Amino acid sequence: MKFKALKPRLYNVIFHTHTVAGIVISFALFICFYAGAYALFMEEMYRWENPMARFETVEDVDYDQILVAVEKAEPRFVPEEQFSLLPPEHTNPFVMFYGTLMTKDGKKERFSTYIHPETYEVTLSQEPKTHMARTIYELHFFHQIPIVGIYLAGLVAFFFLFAIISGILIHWKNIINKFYAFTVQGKWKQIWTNGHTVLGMITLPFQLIYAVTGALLGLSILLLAPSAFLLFNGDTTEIIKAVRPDLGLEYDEDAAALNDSYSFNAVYDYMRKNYPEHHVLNMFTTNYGKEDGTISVRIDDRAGIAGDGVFVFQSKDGAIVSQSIPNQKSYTEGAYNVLIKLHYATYGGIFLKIIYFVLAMMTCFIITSGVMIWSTARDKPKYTDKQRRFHHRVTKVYLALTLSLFPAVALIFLANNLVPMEWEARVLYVNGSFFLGWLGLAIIGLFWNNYRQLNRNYLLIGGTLGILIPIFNGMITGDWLWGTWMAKEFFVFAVDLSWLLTGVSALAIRQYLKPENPEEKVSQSSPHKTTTAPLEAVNLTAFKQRKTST
Amino acid sequence: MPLSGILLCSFLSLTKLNTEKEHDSSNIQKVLIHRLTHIVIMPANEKYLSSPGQRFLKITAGLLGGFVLTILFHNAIGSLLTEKGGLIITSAYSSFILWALCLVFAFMAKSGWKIWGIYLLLIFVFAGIIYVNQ
Repeated sequence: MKFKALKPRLYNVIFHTHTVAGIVISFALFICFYAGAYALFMEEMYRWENPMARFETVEDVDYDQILVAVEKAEPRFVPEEQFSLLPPEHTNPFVMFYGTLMTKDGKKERFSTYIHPETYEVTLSQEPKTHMARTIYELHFFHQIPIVGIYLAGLVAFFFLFAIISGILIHWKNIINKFYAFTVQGKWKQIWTNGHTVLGMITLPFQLIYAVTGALLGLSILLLAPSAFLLFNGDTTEIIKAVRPDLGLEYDEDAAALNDSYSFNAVYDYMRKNYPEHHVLNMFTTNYGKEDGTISVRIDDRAGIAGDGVFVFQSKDGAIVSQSIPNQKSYTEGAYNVLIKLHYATYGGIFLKIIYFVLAMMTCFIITSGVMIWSTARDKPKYTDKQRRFHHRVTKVYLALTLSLFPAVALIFLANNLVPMEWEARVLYVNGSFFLGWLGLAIIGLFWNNYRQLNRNYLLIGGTLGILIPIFNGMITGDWLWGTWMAKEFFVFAVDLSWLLTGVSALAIRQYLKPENPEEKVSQSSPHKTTTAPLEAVNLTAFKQRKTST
Repeated sequence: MPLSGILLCSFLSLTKLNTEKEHDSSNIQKVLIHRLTHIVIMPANEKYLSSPGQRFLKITAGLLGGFVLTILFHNAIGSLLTEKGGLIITSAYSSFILWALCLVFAFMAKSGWKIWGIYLLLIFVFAGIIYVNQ
């Protein structure tokens, strides 16, 4: 089957727009995919991140007792405002509680706490104790940039979608005949191009999913606001109701008080009895203590693509007023959650998450290879010296900022162990180590003009730090690699083992990438070609000499 | 076209490829032509790219015009339906795909004015449908 290529004008126009879109979003998109890859395992990393969570998960919890314990520990708690209870899971054996309290000045504030499932000890604190995985997760959608961060992330995803469509159009003719065309020798530009296109085709479904769901999660306001205005006279609840019917129920603020609210334990037991394969994710209340109050439950089996459900129980008699049954949902009820699941990889189990992780890292390579194609394609005598220095600077800044993320993430894992648990502001120090460390590593990278050397250096730093992570975890928390396996702390073991393997692989790859000789030319042209003058390291000094001599 | 042909032939005679494993000379020629055409094509040939004014028109048509167009398109369908749930949830993903396609088409157009004209026309049509059915 022969695919026809685009006509020259269209080909060049789409090629140019693909290049521009790609280069503009390259840095931000790399961060999205790199941080996102780690964020996939956000929950699985909790036990590693918080050593106090390393105890056996308990099934049998008295949730009504939990509520009493919280009311006793936090007298400012306001039960009429929505509050939620999160049952213990294998990833987090604590019971989590989120609610509202009334401050001294009469202001309402959200607060969270965790409760030990056996001792019912309530731990109140203004700041969470650990924030490591959450920081990486927030970096994924640029939450650190105030207000506009998530919209920027959504826009990046949208332009990524454009880059994917234009990329397919450019590659159209060669999709079949170059499907396996992966070269590892010859001109660098060909190596980068083939890697970019071949891996791009293979990961295409994965990337399409993330481009669309990423744009949705970041820019949903762009859809919600106009549609509410045009179709529902500015009423956004109508739209939300279509997607989550349970959120469309109406409540009366001035409803009569209810003395005997339906028991949380009864709700929990009902769910476990009727849906034994499904985890209860959370139970949250609306208008608790009032006559029309409800307790809503969200369940998920984390296996099927439509395995999630929502049930709403009336507080006064326990009757179910709204339900969305797993695997029995209509298209309208289920489609939105399918999109969410596709993005968060909360289906298909841990092996699917691992596959997603590998694909995300492949996408990071695709982005980097795109920048390298741009760089090597412009390494030609037809450009002026000034232009070529610009190309080199852009490439170097990109590589320094992105490749330094690898040791920076290792740094936050280390900092999480090294900053003592007793410090109140420990989250500030852990986050600070990450961001300042990343900045510092990136700045050093700007002094390495030789790309291969830059790559090797980051592999060395990242690899060494990676190997140190399980060592420090053992030294500080006492949970060494062999100990966690024996104690069945599999999540902790997995984090430690992954970093050990990553660190060792990084150092091994670095050995394999030995520079050929100390004066290796790094303009990425083949050693046998002499048509283009190499630019980096050796010849930058030549440029400077030429400049000072004129 | 003839100029690039001459360039290709001169490259063929001047360069030697140590990395080629094939011994058949006609195969080497074919592969060379294929590889070098690829090299000559990137980066994009500047003669096909638009002036700054045209670029501004096409970018705004694709981003702004495309966004308004895809919102109005979906809401126009919504105004014709009584049960809007299916449309709302489909638009969660189809809006972005349609918007990206609008951006691609905007660049494929020969004139920025022409593509703005087409999008504006469609916008008025869909706005009309919404207005009539309110």
